[in-house]
Amino acid sequence: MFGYLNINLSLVRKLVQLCMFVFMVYGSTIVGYYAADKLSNALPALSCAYDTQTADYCTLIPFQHQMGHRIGPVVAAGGNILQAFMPFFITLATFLGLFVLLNKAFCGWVCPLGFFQEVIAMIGQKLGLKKTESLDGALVKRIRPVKWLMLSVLIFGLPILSGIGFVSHDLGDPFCQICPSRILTTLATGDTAQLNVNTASPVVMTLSILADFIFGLIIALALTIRQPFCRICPMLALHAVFKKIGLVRLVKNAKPRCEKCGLCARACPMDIKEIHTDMQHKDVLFSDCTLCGRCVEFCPDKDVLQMKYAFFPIISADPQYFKRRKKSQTDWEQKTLFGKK
Amino acid sequence: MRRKHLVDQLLLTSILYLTTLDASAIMTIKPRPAEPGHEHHRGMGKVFTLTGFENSTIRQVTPDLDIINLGANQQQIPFKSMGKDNYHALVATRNHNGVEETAIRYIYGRGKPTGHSPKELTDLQKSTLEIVPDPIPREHWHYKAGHEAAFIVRYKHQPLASIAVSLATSHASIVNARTDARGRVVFTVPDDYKVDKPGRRENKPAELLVHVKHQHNEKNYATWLAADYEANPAQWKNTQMGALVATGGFIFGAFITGLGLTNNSSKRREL
Ligand code: SF4
Ligand code: SF4
Repeated sequence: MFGYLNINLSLVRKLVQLCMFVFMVYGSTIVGYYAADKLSNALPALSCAYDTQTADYCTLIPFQHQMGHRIGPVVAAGGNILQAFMPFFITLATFLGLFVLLNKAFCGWVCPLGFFQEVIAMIGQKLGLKKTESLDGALVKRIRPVKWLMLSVLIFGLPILSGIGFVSHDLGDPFCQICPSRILTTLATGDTAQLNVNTASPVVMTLSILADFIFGLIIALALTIRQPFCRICPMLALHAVFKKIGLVRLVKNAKPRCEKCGLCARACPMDIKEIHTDMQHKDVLFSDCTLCGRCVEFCPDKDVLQMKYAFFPIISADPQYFKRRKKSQTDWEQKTLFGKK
Repeated sequence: MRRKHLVDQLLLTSILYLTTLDASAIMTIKPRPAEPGHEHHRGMGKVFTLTGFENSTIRQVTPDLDIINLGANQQQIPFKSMGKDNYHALVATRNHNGVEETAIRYIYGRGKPTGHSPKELTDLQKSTLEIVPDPIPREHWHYKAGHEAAFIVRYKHQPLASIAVSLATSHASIVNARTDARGRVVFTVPDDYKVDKPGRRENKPAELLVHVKHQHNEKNYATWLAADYEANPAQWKNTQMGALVATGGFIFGAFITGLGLTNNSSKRREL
């Protein structure tokens, strides 16, 4: 579709991301100020509840609270476990209701932190900093399990243990305490209070220092490495659990020429080599994918890669589109603040 | 505990006496401190104390705008959320020495979501002269010392411009201000108490009382809005240090990417 319409998909995506950033970070003026006014309170992207002007809350905050305040105490003291799980099921159902519609595209198209990292990368590029082509394959392999650890330990494990009373109450919402989106989105509204060292307790102090450090680290890394935080984000792992039910799909009709090419994998900001090397599966929506669509854009072979909504193709690889897209990318990469490269 | 409560009450009364010169006309709804050994538990109702309860009637407005009569002439007001999650309003009204007086407090109650926004509760007219938080601290949030708190003053549901409003605290501070053309007034809650132990969980909140009086067609009105506020978190949260640590993270990141721990760093990425 984009090929025929002579539209640059990445440009369209950036515009959508910009609109979503503005809406998610400042959208309370439209939806309302109170939690009860927010869109869902279970958004599949890191739109932060600590931002006073947010349009919606990311689903990770209710998950942590439900583990720490509802499920943990019932596990410890006994009681109606089904009743304790009820709010969790409601949040999960709301999350899934949204997730089905866009699947992992919540990352590539909606998430404020995902967009922020891309903006920093553009700044890095315009400053003429040398970009890393792709991370070393072995390093990528070592990083990948971290997101599962983040999900299981920080979103479910520690909060439930704190609810049971095995660990400190201060570990009731450990991911929120280190989440870079909390600092980013509140700073974007002019509120500096979330960037702090909190001396309330040794645990809280450690987490606050970690949060500030990670925030600074991500900015530096994002200047030259694509999507550094996304690679370890627990939301990416949560999406991966349910990726089969989402309506947006990534499909590959492999051809023998694929073996020698690999342009799709080089275009992938998440360094998913498998998009190139997997010659078996039609479903190539991998756990780390953010459905940004770059692999489809940079596939030079007709209809080999496709992004579909249910059964309908939205974008298909196209040689004409590829040529135009590659040229515009080269032009863009050559222009820096310090003249042409 | 009871003594501390009494001291708080007296302090607040004396402050208001200075500001209103009519201590007997104070109406305020405050949480009753828990008796030793009878701390508040989940599921138990809370009890509030009404100062100036003589000749008063008390109503509770639920998040879905049901109005429940809680009785008359009661000093102790039992509060139950009735399974309805979100803010409820306790409203006490009386005619006292020719003045129509109201005391309001918004209380967070736990239960099932009702699908109603607290905005519906604040928008509802609950008394002739009314101070409305604009907004109430968001669900699970609180007013904080050293931070702004905004209110709208309404008379017969219309904004009241250029009227004097006072905010007094249980730590003996008073600030005065006037509403703007939209009836809105913004205070900085006095940063008037230091905590012994850092952290919000370690410290009980203090009380603030916003007050306004108004005369129309020779009829007098007075209203008080009570709420709690927490100690200024700047006492245990340091933003400069936070910025310093973030800078450290940035420098570390620049250092490791500069070292080229990644593959193909010599080649420029083409796509
Ligand atoms: S701190 Fe992060 S995880 Fe928590 S609500 Fe905000 S965006 Fe979600
Ligand atoms: S993986 Fe990236 S884009 Fe997705 S939720 Fe996490 S930070 Fe946002």
